[in-house]
Amino acid sequence: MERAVGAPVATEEEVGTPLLRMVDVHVAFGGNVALADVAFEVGPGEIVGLLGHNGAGKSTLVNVASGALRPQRGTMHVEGRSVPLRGNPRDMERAGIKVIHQEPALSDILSVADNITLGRPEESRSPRQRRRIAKEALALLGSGLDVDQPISALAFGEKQIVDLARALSTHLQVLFLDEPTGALGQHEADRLHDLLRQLAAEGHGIVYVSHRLRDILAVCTRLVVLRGGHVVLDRPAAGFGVAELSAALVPEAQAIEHVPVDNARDETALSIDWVDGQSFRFQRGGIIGLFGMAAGPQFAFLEALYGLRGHVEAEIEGRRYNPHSPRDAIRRGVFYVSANRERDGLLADMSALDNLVLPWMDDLTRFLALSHAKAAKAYAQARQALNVEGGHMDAPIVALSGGNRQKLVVGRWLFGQKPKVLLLSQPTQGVDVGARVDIARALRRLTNDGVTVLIASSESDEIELLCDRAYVCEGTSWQEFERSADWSERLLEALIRRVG
Amino acid sequence: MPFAKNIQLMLARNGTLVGLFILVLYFHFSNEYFLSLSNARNIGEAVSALGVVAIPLALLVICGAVDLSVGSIASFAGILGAMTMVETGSTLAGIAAGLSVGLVAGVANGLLVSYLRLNSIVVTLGALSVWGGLALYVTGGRTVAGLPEAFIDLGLIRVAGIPLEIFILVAAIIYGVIVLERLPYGRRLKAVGGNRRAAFLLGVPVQRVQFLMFVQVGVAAALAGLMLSSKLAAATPITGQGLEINALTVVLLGGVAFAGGIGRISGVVAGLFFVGVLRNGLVVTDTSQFLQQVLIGMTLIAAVAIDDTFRQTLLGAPRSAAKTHRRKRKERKTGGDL
Repeated sequence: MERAVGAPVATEEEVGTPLLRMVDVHVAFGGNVALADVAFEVGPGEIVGLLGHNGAGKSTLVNVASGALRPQRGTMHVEGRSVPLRGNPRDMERAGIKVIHQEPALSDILSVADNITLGRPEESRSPRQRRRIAKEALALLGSGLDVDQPISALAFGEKQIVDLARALSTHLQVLFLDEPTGALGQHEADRLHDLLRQLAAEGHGIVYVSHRLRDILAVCTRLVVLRGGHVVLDRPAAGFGVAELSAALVPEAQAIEHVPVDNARDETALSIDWVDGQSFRFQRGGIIGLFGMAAGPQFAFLEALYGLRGHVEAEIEGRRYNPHSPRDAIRRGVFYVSANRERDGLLADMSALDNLVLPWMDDLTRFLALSHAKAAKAYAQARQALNVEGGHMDAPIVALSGGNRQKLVVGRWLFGQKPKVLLLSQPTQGVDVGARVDIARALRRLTNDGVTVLIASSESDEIELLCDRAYVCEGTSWQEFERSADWSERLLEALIRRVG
Repeated sequence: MPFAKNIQLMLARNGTLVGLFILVLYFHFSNEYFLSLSNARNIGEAVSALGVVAIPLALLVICGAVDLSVGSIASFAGILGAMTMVETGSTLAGIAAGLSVGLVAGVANGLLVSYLRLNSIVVTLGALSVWGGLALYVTGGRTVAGLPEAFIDLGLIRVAGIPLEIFILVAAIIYGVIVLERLPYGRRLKAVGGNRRAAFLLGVPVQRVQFLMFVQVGVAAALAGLMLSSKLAAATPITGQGLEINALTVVLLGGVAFAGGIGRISGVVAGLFFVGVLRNGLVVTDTSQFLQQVLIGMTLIAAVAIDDTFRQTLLGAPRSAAKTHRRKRKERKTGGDL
């Protein structure tokens, strides 16, 4: 693509052959392009920071490199040798590409030594030899962990060390790390960064994927930013600050018109006593954003309001509300759409129609039996309002494209009995631009009827598109931000400042 | 090729029905007596108890669990019913006692699996031993005979020439269709079996739905046990032996996914009559009865394999996946790594 830029030629000449070179890598899921002919290189001694919003293509790129995903086209060379991109992780292992995921991929019941040698030729060696191999690998990382203890006995940071040791004890060229500091404290993160610098100094290539801009700036030598499947920035890290980087992350031109009609009324729809002595009041008809890190507390907040997290103390329209289960919550007019809609929302075996009407079927019965005519009418309404395309309503929902499925999963709460409070977790994640607008409009229409909408997200531009006001959810006091110019940037900056 | 595609779709949805049709044709041409009214009645009578268990069991499997204890529940219900009848002389009391065995057994299975979240295979495998063992224990392994005439006569009642047990089977089928395909409850069943977490988040009372399915299977198994006892004019502690395997075979032949979420009553009925016709046809055509097990087993495996393939290529997989598959094949031909 016109914006896809490889490493500058000068760098390449200085460094010689890059360790890893991926060219024209193209991945599309259904109609959604995840990577658009992306070029990506890593040289020896480089620590490349790979950034981008959710859905920008970061994990897709990592999955292609790890062999978990097969691209539609593209080539890959490691040290000048071609590696087939056929979606086979063993090819990548053999070529020396290792991926460390956020959650260490280790077997909890096996010992440290067993984990380090599992699935490799060394597996068949004697226990004594395997312990030695494991110890040596750990020593490379300056760790003296007891190799006989089971993984379940380790702290999270230690598990990561074992995962790294496993990668190091084999033929390693390029190491990918996916959100490696997501669950680490500052001290552990610093130690990890020292290790990475040491590995780079030994001539390995490192790719560091993270949302934490500070970590990226602290350790990386080059930055690559993805947006919408394109490389939009590729430059040395030196001289880059958090503000510049966050500006580069936020799309400059949102291809979506925002509908800034604030329907918030002067009455409290929902109030809640949250942890750390914080309490919140949400106005009826408002669309309130809760912005925080990926896996941040804003998601737990919504789950608690849906009865998924034990006791909460809240009030809806002045009446006490403490739901014990989703069923409870739904009865009180509180509906929820999880961020992982394919896993938590989709009934893949059932028809599109059934998927839409399941939560409010009782309103669609005639003589106790489900009335197909009534359900079809509701479906037609939803289909029109959300521009659902393709697929017959009685065909399995998996026959629809990803975006249209998402619309129906969100839409199931919009067209039956009206909610009082609608809780949405990343409602436009993985949805194309057109669908985003459709969802934004549908939400706006709901607030006309006095519905209060809470949206938890780790993407500031999603908040900007949908919400009237927002909280930055980090630490013990969440800060409220009114809508303003450069809202998205301001939210992101505030979050980064708080995360530290 | 919409026509070819339609044929494929029809096969995918009704593979067992097509198999049943072929079977009927084959036996018809091997023996002209096969397609007679009285033989049809024979088949119906032979599968009625099996069907009474298979239909509720199908509902349970669709909502993501299985009950392997139905055979033992049937045995023990038959025994307890018979013993009550012999003691009291009252047919009604005996039937009530038998059915309450099913109720208790179903409630026990349901509580353990749905509310304590234990694995249904393990729990009902245990229950299979417990109820079967109890049936042997209370009788000392002996048959209970001397049942009231009224009870034995139940097996002989005919309305318009049709035996009572066929009416019970028809009632079970109607029950299945209403619950699974008419009431909103059927959607909830499929939702629980297909994606338990999603169903929970959508406010479906997941545990209660599954619990009730265990209870109805238990009661149905007890009813089947009483039907068999009435037919034999005696209750044996092994009356229901093998019922669990046969009922499960029927359910799976009928296209119900063992993993839950998918299934239709029409398929289960086809599966039921497939088994019934095969058994009957082998007798009528004088083929070795031992072959019947072999044929049913092979058909089951074939049915599941065909079902799965068709579902993947025609129904389930999103179009993008099908495309990737085609491209993969094309590339393998050209041999490039592009």
